[in-house]
Amino acid sequence: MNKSRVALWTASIFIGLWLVAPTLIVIPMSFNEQRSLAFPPKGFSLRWFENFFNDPQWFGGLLNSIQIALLTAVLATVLGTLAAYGLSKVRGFKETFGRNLLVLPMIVPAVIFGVGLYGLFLRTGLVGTLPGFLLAHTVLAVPYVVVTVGSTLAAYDVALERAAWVCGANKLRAFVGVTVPMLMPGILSGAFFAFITSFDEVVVSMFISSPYLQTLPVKMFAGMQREVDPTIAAAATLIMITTTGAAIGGILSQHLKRKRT
Amino acid sequence: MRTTVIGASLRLDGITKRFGAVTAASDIHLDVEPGEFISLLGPSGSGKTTTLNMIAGFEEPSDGRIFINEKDITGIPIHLRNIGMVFQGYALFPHMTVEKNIEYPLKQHGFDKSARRAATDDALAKVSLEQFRDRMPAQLSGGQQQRVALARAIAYKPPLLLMDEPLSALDKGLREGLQAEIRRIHRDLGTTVVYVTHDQDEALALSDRIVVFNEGRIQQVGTPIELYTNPRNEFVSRFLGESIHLDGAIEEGSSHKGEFVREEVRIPVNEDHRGPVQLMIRPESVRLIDPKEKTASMPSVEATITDKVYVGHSIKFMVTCQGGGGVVRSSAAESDDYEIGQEVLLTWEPEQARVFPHAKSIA
Repeated sequence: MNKSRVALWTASIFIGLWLVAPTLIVIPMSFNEQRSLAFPPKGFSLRWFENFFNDPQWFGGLLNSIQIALLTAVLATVLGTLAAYGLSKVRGFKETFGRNLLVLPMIVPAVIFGVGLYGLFLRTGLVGTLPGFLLAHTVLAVPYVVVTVGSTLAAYDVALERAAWVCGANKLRAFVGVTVPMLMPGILSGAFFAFITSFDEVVVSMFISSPYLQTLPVKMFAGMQREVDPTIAAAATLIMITTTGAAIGGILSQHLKRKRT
Repeated sequence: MRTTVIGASLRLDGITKRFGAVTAASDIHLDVEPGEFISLLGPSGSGKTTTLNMIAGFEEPSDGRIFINEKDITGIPIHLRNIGMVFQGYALFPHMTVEKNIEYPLKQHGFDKSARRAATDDALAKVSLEQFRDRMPAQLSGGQQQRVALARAIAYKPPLLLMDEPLSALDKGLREGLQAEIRRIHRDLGTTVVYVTHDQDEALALSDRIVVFNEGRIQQVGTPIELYTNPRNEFVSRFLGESIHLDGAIEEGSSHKGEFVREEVRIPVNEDHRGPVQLMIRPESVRLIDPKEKTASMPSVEATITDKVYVGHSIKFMVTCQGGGGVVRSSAAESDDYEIGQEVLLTWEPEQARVFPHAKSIA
């Protein structure tokens, strides 16, 4: 290994650590024996996890988050896949305009989106409701599905779909029987990222939540302002495990594609 | 199961396809007889694939109508056209086994389970792939994949079978084997085949008739022999086989109907046309003679040999002469002594020459 390679590796490892260190620190903190968020923690205990699962506020928040994230993933995946498929059938301005419009929620600052949505939801009575959360999170998650399914579609041989039509399948049957199975790696990957997007969304969720319906990140944010409770560290650890698992799922499902073609 | 189908007739009535300012296929008229094997032959961008795509329904014609069995199918959805198709890149469904691939069109056409089974077995047998029924397409070689694609296309015995350069991704040995297989299946089934290719040898070997395309237009339609012996224009003569081309003009002659004239050369031709022309002779109709053996009565053209290729049963000479040049073939025995760079005379029987009226000025 020559000098420049050593330098490159050192720099890469340093940057990598810099990026993940704050995230990793939360894990030992959640096993702290004392009631503080100090680092390094003193002693070892599972009391904050016990506290998390026994407190209906915390545990309920987790269940809300999981429910909203799962339903959002389903909605965003269906809508995003259809949108990406539609975009693959048009060219030129229509395609560019449509794609940019669909990824806009990724770019618009969450605070602005949150304020606007709050105003709208107040009028329509959607604040603090499950449909309200699904609506908001689906808007935020669709871009990820459009991107992952879009990249799978770019490599999709349209002759397969034509072959299905010629074989006597109408457009719907060809789409369900041939195109969707071919796009499955992108669809699965998009679903995982949609789940993550919803599961750890906090800014928009704060605007549209109510005391009756709160997601876990919102509960953590609120808790943080009132008291120093290491249960937050336990919650953070749980969120991290869930999102890391989903991210790994997302990456693995893209590998599925490479293996098959 | 019936083993023969009644092939469909196909009629293209002036179909045209425009993409923006580009006309990919222009005013295509064609009548295909039931059971006929017809090839659409031409270079890339000549309109042959666009024409096939319009028959299949992937593209809608900008103008004109398409009739299958005298029924207007223009605008009818693809899945209701009752066609089979083999694609250039096979287009097998990668997530289905060989058997499921072949069964797919049968399912879509509403065959019941036992009929599906029988038709799948039959199609697999036709391409001799019975032992591969449970394989995935990725586990097969290119040639095997294309045979599965062929089996899938013929499984429900479509009256019209479209083939889009099905052999172009395969190497030469495999291509010839599959050509024989395609010919046999066509004979057995009696289905009408429209076959797109840019390979003249393939078109000559397979077709009842060939449609030569160039620049979005049909240049000529005919049997392989008609096209080879009586090409209508320079493009067809150059695209199908080798030839010698000479620019000149036809004038009133003394002995024959006319005389091909270029500078001091005067050669009799059987031709009523007068004016600038291009003369075409196929390589096997031309004789090479040594200038020393020239007799006064023998009309001939002076030429120089620029290349010599030994091809087994014969020798191919590339020749150039004033106003043209091309390829001459002669049997190895009688012309072995001509060398590259040598001056020779070219001669032929007047009825062997074809004449194309020339739009261009003489080069």
